[in-house]
Amino acid sequence: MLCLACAWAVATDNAPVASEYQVKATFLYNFTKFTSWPSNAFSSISAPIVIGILGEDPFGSTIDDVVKGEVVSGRTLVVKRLHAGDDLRGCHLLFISRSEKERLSALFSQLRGSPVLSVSEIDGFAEKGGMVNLVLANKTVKIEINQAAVEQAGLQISAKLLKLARLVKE
Amino acid sequence: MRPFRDLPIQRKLMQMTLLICGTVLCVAIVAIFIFQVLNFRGNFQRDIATLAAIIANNSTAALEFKDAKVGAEVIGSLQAKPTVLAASLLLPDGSLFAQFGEPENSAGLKEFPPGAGFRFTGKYLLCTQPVELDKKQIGTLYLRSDYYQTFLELLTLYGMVILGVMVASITLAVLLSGRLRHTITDPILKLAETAHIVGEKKDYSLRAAVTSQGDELGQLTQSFNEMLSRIQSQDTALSLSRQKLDALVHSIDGIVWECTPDTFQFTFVSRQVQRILGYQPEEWLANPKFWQEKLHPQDAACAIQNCHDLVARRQTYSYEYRMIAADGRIVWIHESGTVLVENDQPTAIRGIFQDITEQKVAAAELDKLNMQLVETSRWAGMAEVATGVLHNVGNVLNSVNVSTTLIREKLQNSEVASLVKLVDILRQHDSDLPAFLTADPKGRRVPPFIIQLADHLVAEHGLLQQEHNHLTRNIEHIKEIVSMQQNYAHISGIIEPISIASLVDDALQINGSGLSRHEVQVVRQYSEVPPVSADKHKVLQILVNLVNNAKYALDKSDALNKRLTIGIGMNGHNCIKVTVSDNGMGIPPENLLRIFSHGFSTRKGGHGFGLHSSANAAKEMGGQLSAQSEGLGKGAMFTLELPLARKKTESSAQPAVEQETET
Repeated sequence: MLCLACAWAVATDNAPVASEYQVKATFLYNFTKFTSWPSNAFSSISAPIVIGILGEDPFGSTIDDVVKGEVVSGRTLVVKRLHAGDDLRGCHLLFISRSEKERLSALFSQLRGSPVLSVSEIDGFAEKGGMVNLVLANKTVKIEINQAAVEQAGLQISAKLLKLARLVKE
Repeated sequence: MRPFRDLPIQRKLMQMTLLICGTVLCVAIVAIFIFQVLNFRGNFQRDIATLAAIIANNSTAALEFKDAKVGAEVIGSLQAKPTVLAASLLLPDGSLFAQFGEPENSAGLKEFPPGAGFRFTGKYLLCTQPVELDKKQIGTLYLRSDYYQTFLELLTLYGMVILGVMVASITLAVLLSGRLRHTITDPILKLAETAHIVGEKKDYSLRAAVTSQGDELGQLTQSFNEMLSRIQSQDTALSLSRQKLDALVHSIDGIVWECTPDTFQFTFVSRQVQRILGYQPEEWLANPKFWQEKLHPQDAACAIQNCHDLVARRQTYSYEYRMIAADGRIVWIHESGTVLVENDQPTAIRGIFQDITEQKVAAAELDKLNMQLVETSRWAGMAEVATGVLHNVGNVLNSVNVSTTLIREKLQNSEVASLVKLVDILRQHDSDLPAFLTADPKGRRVPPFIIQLADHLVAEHGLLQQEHNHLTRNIEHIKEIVSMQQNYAHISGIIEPISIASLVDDALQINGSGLSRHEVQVVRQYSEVPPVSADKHKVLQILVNLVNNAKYALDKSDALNKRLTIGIGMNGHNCIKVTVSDNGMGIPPENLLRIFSHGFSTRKGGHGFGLHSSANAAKEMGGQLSAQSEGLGKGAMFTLELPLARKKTESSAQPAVEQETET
């Protein structure tokens, strides 16, 4: 019991500090598990789920390690690094880096109507029209979800995930 | 408590209904109960599995995003299920992620099945449920639930329900059967009541009310009624025939009875006992030793012994004895009975007592008469013998008479007178006798006269001598005849060895003069036979009678060559026979059978008991007398058979009393 408690403490206290982006990478990966895309979002049945990272990449190789070899709902995972001006519609999950903070409204209009789950770590991202925001609070990563924006994009986030998140509105 | 089969039918039906309802209910309830109990574990396990799956599924996001708070919330929702005691959600690395209730320690965790699965341990159901997301195990849920408590609660609930259902069903069954059973029981009860009344009052004119037509009870009632009417008619017929039989049995002139074969206790006596002996049948049947007690004291021992012997022989029997009637009369009873045998054991004696007192009195009188007759016939026989004797004596007296007449004539004409005259002449010539004899012519004729006279006297003497001899012999003969008659006259009933040949000779001699007068040739054909033990007098009487008859038959016959043949010989080893045959007038066939009957005679002046008493006498001595004849004019033959050793005959009417023999 004492052992377990120690392990638990290590897991909760050290992990975010040590590797915040490792946790966030895992979160991105986990979002793919609790999100349903419309069938027209994929070119084929076996088409992979594409995770796009727009702007300055804070994950490095961590994200690649996390998704490597993983299969979600029968699909493999692919990480794409994107820059301003790239076509965002090929992505299924788009992580918008802090570097793109100023271009958010343009990005939102570019993504409008596309089945792309937008995720960021910019403060007030969800209130501004983003879908999922990762917030660091009390040394743990919290989730904020703008359910209206998710639905507008034709996506569906599992209730289990919604239960973990703080729901925000524009 | 009464056994079930003796209960009234209403209660029987009620109990049967209850029993059936109860049994069916019990079986159903037990089946359901067993089913539920058997299913309980499965159901419980399925419930828990569902619950575990839901919790595991709901906790995936919490696990994936390491949100312990949400994990605790999810797992905390288990409190809605009171049977779940504790739940622990562990990460793949074995660290506790979330918990409900007491967290499992390592020892507790070891009780859980590894991997996915269930285990019942004691009161608990332990469930291990892996939490998987996209085929990856992201955690493990350990669930501990208390199935025993639930099981107990379930049992209690079932018990209550079963009790309620039982009580309700049985109440309902009782109410319903109470209403319905009347349709069955009412006709049966009515039938039973009728049967009871019929049985008690023996009134077969009653009928049970028919309440239904079609069903078995209706048919039963109808059959019962039909049976009653049949019994009624049979009963009538039976009582009629019983009356007839009673009248028959009680009117038979004799006491019809039945008794036990060992103690002679009577089980039935007909009413005639009242008339014949003056006793009531009831008193006779009431006393087990009635019959023995009412037997004549002199006959009792013999009769009872006799009865035992007859039962042992198991035959139909009859015998006679005396009984004492109610008024003290002596009643002669002729008992004939049959021993009933069943399985080789005598079961009863049945028979009839007949009053034969009158016959007995008549028989006694008859015996007396018979004795008188025998006596009379004996006298008659003696008279017959005497007649023969007198006849013979008469005949001899005739000769005697002739002899005396002759002697008298001879004496009257005797030459003695000439002798006296001669003597006178000689006396006159006494002085000159020689001169007279020589000179006188008269005197000279004297000597030749003397010579002649002497011759004459000698001849006369001889004649007288001869006649005297005749007379003496005849007198001897008469003496002999008389002494023979005396010899037979009073000797009777003495059995002694006798020579049959000498008896036959005597019989012939008694009839001798008659036979010679009638110029009958007597032929004797005697064989050597041993002496016979018999009553000499009777045999002689028979023989005299037979010879007399033959003489009579020859006398009446015109035959020139009259012949009487007497034969003596053996007839078998133990019997001799004497045949007396003649060639006289014979016997017509119609008389051949009658000649031995009493009072029959063909002779004028015959008394008719000669042959009858002869035949009786022969029978008394154990022999017999028979007659044969070819017919009228063809002669006849009588045969007397006598046994050598005389059998004991039952009739000893004439006791063999020693008598003095007269010489």
